[in-house]
Amino acid sequence: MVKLKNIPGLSALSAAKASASPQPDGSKGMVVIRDTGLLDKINLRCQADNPVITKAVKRMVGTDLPTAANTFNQAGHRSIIWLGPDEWMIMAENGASDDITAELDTPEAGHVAVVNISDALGAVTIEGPHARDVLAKNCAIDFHPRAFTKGMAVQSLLSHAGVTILCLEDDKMMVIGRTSFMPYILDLLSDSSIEYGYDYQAA
Amino acid sequence: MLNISCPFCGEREELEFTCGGEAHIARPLAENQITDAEFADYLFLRDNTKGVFLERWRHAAGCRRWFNMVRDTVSHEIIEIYPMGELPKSKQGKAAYEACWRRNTAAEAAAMPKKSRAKKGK
Amino acid sequence: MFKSSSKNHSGGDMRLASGGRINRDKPLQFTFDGKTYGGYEGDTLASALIANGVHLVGRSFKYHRPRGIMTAGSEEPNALIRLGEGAKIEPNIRATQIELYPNLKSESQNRWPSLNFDLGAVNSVVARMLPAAFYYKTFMWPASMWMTYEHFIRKAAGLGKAATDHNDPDRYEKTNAHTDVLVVGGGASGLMAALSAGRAGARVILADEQNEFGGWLLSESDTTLDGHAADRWIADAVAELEAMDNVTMLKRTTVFGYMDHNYLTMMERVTDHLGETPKHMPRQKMWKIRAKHVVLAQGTHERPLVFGGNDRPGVMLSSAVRSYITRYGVAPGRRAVVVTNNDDAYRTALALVDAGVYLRAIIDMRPAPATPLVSEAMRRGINVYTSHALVDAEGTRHVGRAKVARINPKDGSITGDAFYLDCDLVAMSAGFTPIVNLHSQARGKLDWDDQQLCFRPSTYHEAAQCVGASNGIFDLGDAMADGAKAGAAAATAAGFKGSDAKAPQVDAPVQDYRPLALWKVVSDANPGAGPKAFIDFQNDVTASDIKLAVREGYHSVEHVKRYTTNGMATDQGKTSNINALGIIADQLDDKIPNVGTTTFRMPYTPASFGGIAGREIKGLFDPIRGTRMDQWHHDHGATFEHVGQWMRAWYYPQSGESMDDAVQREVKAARTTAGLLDASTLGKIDIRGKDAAEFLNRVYTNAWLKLPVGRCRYGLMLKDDGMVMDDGVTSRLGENHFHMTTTTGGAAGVLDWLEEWHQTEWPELEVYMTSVTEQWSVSTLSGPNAKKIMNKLGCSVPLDDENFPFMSFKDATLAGLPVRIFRISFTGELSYEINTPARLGLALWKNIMAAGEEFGITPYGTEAMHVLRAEKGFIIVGQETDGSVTPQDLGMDWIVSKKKDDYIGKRALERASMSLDNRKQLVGLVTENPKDIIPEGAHAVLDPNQPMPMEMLGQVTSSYYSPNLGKSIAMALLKGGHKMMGETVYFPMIDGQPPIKATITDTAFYDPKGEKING
Repeated sequence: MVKLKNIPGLSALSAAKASASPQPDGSKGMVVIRDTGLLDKINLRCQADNPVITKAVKRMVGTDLPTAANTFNQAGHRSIIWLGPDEWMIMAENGASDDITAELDTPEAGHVAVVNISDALGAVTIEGPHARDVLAKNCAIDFHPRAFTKGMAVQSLLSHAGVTILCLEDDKMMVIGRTSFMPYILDLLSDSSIEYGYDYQAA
Repeated sequence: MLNISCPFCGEREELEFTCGGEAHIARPLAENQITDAEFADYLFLRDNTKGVFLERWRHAAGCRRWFNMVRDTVSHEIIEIYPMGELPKSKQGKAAYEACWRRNTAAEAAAMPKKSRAKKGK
Repeated sequence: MFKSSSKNHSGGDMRLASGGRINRDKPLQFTFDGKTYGGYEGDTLASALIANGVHLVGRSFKYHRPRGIMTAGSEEPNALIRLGEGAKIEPNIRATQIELYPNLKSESQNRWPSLNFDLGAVNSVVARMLPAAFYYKTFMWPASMWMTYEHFIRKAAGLGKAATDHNDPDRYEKTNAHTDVLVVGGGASGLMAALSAGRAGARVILADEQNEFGGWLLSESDTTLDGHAADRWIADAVAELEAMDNVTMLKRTTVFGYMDHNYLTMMERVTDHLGETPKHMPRQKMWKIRAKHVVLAQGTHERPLVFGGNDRPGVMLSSAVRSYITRYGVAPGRRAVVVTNNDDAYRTALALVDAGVYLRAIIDMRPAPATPLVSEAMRRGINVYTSHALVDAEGTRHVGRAKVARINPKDGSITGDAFYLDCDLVAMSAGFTPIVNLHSQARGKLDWDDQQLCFRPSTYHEAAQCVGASNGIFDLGDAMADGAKAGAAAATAAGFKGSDAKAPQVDAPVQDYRPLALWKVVSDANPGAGPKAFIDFQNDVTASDIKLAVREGYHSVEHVKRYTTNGMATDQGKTSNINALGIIADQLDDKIPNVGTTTFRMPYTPASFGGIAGREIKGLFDPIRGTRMDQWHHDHGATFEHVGQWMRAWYYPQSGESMDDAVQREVKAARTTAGLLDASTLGKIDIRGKDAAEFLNRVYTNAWLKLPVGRCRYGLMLKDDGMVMDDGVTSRLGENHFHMTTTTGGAAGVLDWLEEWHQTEWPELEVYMTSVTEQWSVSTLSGPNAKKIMNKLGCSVPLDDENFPFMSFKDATLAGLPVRIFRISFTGELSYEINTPARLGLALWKNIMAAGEEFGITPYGTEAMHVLRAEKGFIIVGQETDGSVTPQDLGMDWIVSKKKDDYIGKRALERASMSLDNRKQLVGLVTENPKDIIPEGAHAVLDPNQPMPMEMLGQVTSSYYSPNLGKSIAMALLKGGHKMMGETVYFPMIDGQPPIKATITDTAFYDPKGEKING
């Protein structure tokens, strides 16, 4: 079997060049946007109490299956995001999806759907004291530090694009979107950051 | 713009949702023969209630799950949100469900399997 | 006292020597109608113009009457100014809200050729002929003339002119915010509310439309708080709030809309006051706010008195006069008359005297006012005429004298001889109206207060509370306590422990807040004659107009509003509402609460389109989606077309080629050697679960249970009304695992559709759907040389028909890349739809192009794809179908199972009306002249010479020139078409060309037996 990891492939934002806008006086700090490059992603559908899956997730991701709405669990480079009452997304390093899928997608697991969507989605991180302001300009989720805290993940709209937004740190978020929407999402985020100054770094 | 509490994701802006129109329109089963006119009640006729209305919504930009809502179309008050496949529990929701003209239609009766015509909501 | 008596004239002749919140160290220059004037930082354009003695600033909407500055706030109806130059021009800005900045350029509006000499003012002379609803009455008939009338009406009416250069260079922002408490208005009670809520720890947003917090406190010199001037208390309160992390303070921010579930919109004027907008900054920012609780502290609007000439420049609201003196250090006149029906104007009178203005008299309509303020005025030697009214403010472009007469305060009748007072300023007050616009927008109800003569909030539809003056509480101390209480209650309701912030000790003149209830216009002229007395200044509605409307039978306040235009448009009745109601009630001999009030609409004050659009313009107006091969298409000269949000390669013109040339070359190549299409945009859905086959069986019209693993099948989806909704090929990857494809445009809709049926109708089926549209890039290789190219690329699976038959798929490697190859065809040629993980899509495409080079492989776009499939008679959903077409109409009965119990649309197809002979049915058309291409959408008739209206049979859905057949081909939906094979139809042309003649045929034009499918 051909290992994808060993073939050079394009990320959602491979065509996007590095760009920047200077930090004006009085800004609390630049917004730093980074392409996450190739990250593997697996969509998982099953009942939340599926014992085979719960164990396999613990084994392969290193955390429990998150059952609280709007959250994700992370262990090292791998994480699992709650998307709905019977839907999750696993994120892992490039090339990890084959092994993870093999562990999850077994006859013993019963009614499950484990689907590799690594290439269907792209992601950027957005970092800095104004990261929340930039997101709030385009998304109606409450991004106040009291309301959107580390470990939360929401699916919503970033202007006209469907996205999943993760709170990685107090001032660092991840925006995951459909591959074909990523150039638009990057344009939105960088345009919204001009007020504070930004730096976009390609993967 | 409504502030809707998705039963799975919590409070979100209306723009994340799509409205699926009137709820509890039971689909006639193929095994039950009804006339074209009776079938039209299911296929074409929709209520446009001023006041308490039962409707279906979907959290399109979130978890993509369907749910039911009891909403006052005048005040825009959201009275109750309840899962697909269940009936409203609020007094106003129950009353609106019972008062709906569909309850006595051949189309709705035809949504029950021939053998077990037990009461069922959609 | 005046600046003119000192040496420095830079701030204007009418500038007071001291006082005001202007910065006298920062003189500024600005122009108005081309003339340069001086002002100070801290001025508004209005205060700076007044300081320079300029009162005439515009012409009125209908009569082109000279108009001056009447107010000092956002309720200004007259002084609408055009600001800026070129693409930055903005019309209709209130001079009272424009903060002065260096080199500001402003112009008056609604005048021609000049402000001082305006030809439109002839309307004023013929005003007798321009009564209420003049346009409705005059230009109704004949209807054919409306276009002519409209042209002139539009020229004559209208407020201001927008920029003709549409490249607005400024940036606009939009943002969302959530808060526990939104406080609207940063005056005394708003600040108290914010303090209470902020101290409780609640998230608070405080928005005020002005450049400073403090509201009317900034305009009162006779008030102390805790023993100090009010501005000290304001500064302390603002400093405390600004230091709180949980409080956001927004100046220059107008809350203009209040919608359901406490959703409010506001516009922040971020850099308007700077003149030059720094490149990185937005000019304006629109906020969309979801608040748990709203405190409305909007204050009041003072009402104008209704008397003849009350719109003349130099006639101002009393509170505005006080504001210009105290806040801006400007005297609005040298010889003033104060006219009032209440106590408040006495404070203005005293301020005028203190500023050194010669106060001719106070004209008080009340019979025997005996309040401390009246006594104080008398004590200070001011002439006070009680039981007197102003009958006419005379003058031309400025008030020159006031005509005054003794009246009977009960009925407004004149009881004595009129006399005149020379003056250049009239300060008028008819009492105060709580600002309930937002409360009313949010469907809050109002009660009439027959003491204070105003509507005040009664019940609330949203979680909100009006406070202070906007709650009808006019006493400053009480208003501040009211704000504090509401702020605490709002914080408590949002889950915090709120307690009332302590209100300061207020020392202000004691005032009687009950105006005289007299709605009659005092006039000595015959009914219908006499000077115009205005109610709605912006819309040019007079007291006579309102009376006329009532006489003509418009008794409902909503009807009077529409008939006269009173309170409409951007003004929203801020200064006019109560006066109009008073006159209507008076005419009807009824009471104001019985007349009711109109509903205030959004926006409170106009909001710019720039702000509303935000960044969603140009490239960010809508997402543009591209495939992974996009760059290659661009590099190879492709022209693109929109397919939903996708931009797909349309055709690849070579140098000198027209679109037709390019498309025909591409179409030929695909049939004679090989073509390559980027089909990545097709929708793809992964379907899993033990009931997956059963689920497909229910959503497609044909049978799916027995499809072998490894094989593909074409499927047609219907809506439950039996009409075609989407189509595509679905493949069985495993016993319980399918890969569905949908049309490009239908991708999202089909997944939603499947989810809807699964979640709402058949939740018992064990099936999961996942979108994999973008997981795969798809290169479709088609043509007789396709197999050779595949072999050259080292395809890892045998490609012979036995091992890899039509309608099957294989997982394989191609050019060393992992692929899933579907042997399906939309061209009728031997064809491979090669899927690869999207990251490799471009690499795969390039490999295929390289391998195909020796065979003359040709990339083809969506246009060639359309021609190729039309040659085969394959439908495109959305082109051959329009939501009213059944499979039978398409001649596709073969795909409709007769054995299945049920599928979506089955029962509907069984309806009697679905089998009528005259349904529109899909047929092929071949034109008599092979070069004639029938326009898509053209209608067919049997006899082109029949009289009109002709009997039409149906319309052309697809039409192309087929280079492979060497003739024009088309498909059409024609009534009873399936029984008309071989018949002749005509397509009349709209451009005078002769009708196109065509023969009805089958739709399979090319290779009808399908012999080319195996190469």
